[in-house]
Amino acid sequence: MGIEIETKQEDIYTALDPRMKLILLILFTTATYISRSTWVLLWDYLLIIGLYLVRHLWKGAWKTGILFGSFLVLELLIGYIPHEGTKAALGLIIFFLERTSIFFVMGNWMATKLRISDFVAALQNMHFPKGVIITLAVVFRYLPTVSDEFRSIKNTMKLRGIGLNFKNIILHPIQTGEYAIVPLIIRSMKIADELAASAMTRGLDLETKRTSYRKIRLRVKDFMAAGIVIIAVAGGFVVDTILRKGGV
Amino acid sequence: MNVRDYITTAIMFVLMFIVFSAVGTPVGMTVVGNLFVFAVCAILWGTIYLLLYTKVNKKGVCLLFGMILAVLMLMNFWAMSLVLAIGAIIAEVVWRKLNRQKFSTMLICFTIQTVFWYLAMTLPLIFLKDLYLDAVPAYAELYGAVYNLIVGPVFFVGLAVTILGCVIGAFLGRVLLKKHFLKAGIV
Repeated sequence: MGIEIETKQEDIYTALDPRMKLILLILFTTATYISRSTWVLLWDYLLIIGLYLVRHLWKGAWKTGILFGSFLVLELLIGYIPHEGTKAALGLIIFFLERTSIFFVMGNWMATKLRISDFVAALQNMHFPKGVIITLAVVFRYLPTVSDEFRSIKNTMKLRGIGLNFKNIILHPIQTGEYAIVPLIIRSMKIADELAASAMTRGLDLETKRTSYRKIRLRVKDFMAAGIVIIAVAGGFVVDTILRKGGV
Repeated sequence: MNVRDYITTAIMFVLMFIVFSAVGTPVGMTVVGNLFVFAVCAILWGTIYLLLYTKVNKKGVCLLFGMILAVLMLMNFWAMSLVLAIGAIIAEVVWRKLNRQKFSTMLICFTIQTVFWYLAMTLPLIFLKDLYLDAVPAYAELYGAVYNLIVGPVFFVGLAVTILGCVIGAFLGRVLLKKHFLKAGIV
């Protein structure tokens, strides 16, 4: 069975079960997609910033606030553009950015301080197939690494005079793409070999169910913590609907 | 498939997603640009998909790759996820029926998965139309006309360009596979 331990106390939203974090991510992406009013969108943004603050992710809260604030300010300023066509075109861009950026913001919230082993254990408890679990875990684990690798490749390209800049992309798109993609792929394949060796050393290819060092199960406080956020999001829609209809 | 194959699939998925974020997102900023995102991305994706199908030349790779995308898109919009899952299943059926070693099979499966992603991305344009027009009544008339055009004849133009992008990407991928990856011992 293995030894399961409780680790030191974390705030409720950091210690939240990964499944609940996933539910909150889906909740916010869906809620912002279907929101008809900028006020509902603003309420959802404030809740997301609140989720960052509750977990003491000050930098994330600050960046999220700046991002959302910029969208709202741009939306306001677009109203003053005299040319209708330009106003409509820019308005549409802002409309989609306001909604699609939530996926990345909440994804970052979820992935910050996320232990991959907890994530794997949670997916195992949801009875996902082993292949999907391993693939998803590697995706989340490799995402931050690939950006470091790509940064090194970009610097090397710049040193050799074939930098990834606007001029090269326009004048030599295929060549520039080849110089950027091929080293990244070769480097990624080397990392894949190392990861595979590490995974087999840890017994990931065994058929038996993996045990977890930490207790990963849904608790009452997970439901309560997620429930508060769900009620708050739903409340925003209810209030907006009531106000649109002119009162109760 | 074994653990090494799952890890290779995951790494290829991340690379595919990075290309989509870096190249596709700026192109897709407008309603019209949204229809040509996958054509542009497919030119770079061809190398990634060809390498994936060559390294993991086993049953289940198309289904796994498509399902991972569907699971991640579930966090965006459930209807997109459903369309992507259907595309993954169709690609897997074709992958199993045809000769997996042949370039033409890889091209067809790659095209199916990309086309279904294109179909999945155009769904929000249909579902969101009323929401958008409701949210911005000031230019509802202009956008009503634009939307009707986008989900009408231009949709098929975007579809054709996406398929063309996949063909170009696959052939480019085959050239790069021979030029670089064979020499590097990757395949």
